[in-house]
Amino acid sequence: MKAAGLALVVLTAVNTLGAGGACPPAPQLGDPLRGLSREDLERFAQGKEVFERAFTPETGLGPLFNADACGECHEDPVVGGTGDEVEDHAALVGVDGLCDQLVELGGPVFQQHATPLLEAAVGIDREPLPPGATVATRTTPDIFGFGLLDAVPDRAILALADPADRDHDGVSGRPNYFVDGRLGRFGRKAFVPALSEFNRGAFVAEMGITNPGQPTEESIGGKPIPPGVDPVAEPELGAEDTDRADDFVRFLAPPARLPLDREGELGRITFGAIGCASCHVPSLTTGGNRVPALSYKTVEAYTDLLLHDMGAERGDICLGEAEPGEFRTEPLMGLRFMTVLLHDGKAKTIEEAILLHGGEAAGAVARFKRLAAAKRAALLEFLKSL
Amino acid sequence: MKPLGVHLRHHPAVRAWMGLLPLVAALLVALAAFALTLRALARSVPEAHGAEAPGASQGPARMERLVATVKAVDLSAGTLDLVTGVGLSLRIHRVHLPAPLRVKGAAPESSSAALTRGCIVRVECHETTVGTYASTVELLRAAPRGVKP
Repeated sequence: MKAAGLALVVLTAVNTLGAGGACPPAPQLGDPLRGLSREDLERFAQGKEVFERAFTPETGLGPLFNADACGECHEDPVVGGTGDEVEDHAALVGVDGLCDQLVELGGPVFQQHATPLLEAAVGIDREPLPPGATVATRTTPDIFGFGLLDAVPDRAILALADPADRDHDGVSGRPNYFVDGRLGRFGRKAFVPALSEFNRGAFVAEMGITNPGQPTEESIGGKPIPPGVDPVAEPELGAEDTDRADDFVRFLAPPARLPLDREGELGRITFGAIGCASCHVPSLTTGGNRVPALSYKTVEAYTDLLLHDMGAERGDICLGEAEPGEFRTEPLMGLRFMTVLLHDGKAKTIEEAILLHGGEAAGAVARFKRLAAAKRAALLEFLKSL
Repeated sequence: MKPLGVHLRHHPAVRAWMGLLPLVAALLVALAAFALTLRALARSVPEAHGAEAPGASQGPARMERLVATVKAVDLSAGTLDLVTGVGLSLRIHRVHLPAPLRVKGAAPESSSAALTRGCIVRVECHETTVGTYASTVELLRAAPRGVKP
């Protein structure tokens, strides 16, 4: 009897401990992924320092730049979040119908600030936009959980593509490709294949910080940098710091969803029923990864990482094979933290953002408009939980 | 008295295991082939990821392999302008074509015609103080259909 009592106590203790181990508290916004090794957690912390580091002309900033730190734009409500900065991208559809990213004129990212040395040398305070180019405004997305999106296998994305709309649902996601032919997934036009490459490119295109991944500076509207304007030797950021910044971004945990009440659950069902989930696919699964925290994980990102036609009214520039009206399905994880919505920041509320969808989303928007008030409120309630 | 080895060979359990030897050998061969395939795949990864891998162009021989989109072709000048880059930080890379030009992956009689704006090529080249010179050009993908303006 005594032994049975003791066994019960031991079992209860084991169960309690086990339950504690199986359900650790969800990461807070800006926290690293659960399950990282001590070494990876250290890399995350070191990378956060690089991400927040404010560069100056003396440490490599510029000559052209949009911001002096990654964290200057990705700051709200915590580091890695959104920001109120809006930048200019430009491109042009050529006479042959192919996209011209205006690389020889400094494109596709046109920086809005110049260092004092550049300003003194050539008399400009920003990179000039090429006359006749199509200009797009781009808001700052949050980047929580992007390491998981990076770890989704190409084949999982391609399996969702339906470029000829063979299932006749009016939705025809198609992939975009980088300049070397690899499948793209990052950026508003799904142009960039890998998160580390997006980061390395952004150091240069956004801050003028050269690094081992991109060791040459942006041109000044296609012209070479005048002598003496960029005194810091390339690369301005070393391999170690570049890798740590990657680690920080890669290991940022996705925002935990808020629990759904009955109304929210009705909204989740309605989201699928009216067709939003055709593009905003609720979850993706990562493939095998050397980092166990990124390996075979399900991420509730609400995206298919494919291009969809958003309609002519939302359209702006081409990029790679993306047409002006095509955009990558924006991940909805972290939606409740966004202060402006859509790639161009035209919407201030979730409802406004839905109503501004066109093109392939026209059917879903029409169904949204026909929803009874209670169901429409439920859908918005669900979206505010993401 | 028979040696121990002979006794063991006649033991039923040992005989059963010896019967499995061909199967074990076949499995080992299959595993070795699998390992070699994985190794070959691992070696092909940098190529699949293009020429922009960090350090790829920093060898002492200054040899490069570029996988990029053709921006412009000037056959009279014998040059190819390629769009390379990392993320949204793109660059134009001018490459001098070999003479005579033969494009792998294209019909021999239409080698030069295969190089059009928008196609993707793999170029083996070496950098010199006066420019980048290609030794081979391979067509990987024809230009996509034009985008709708």
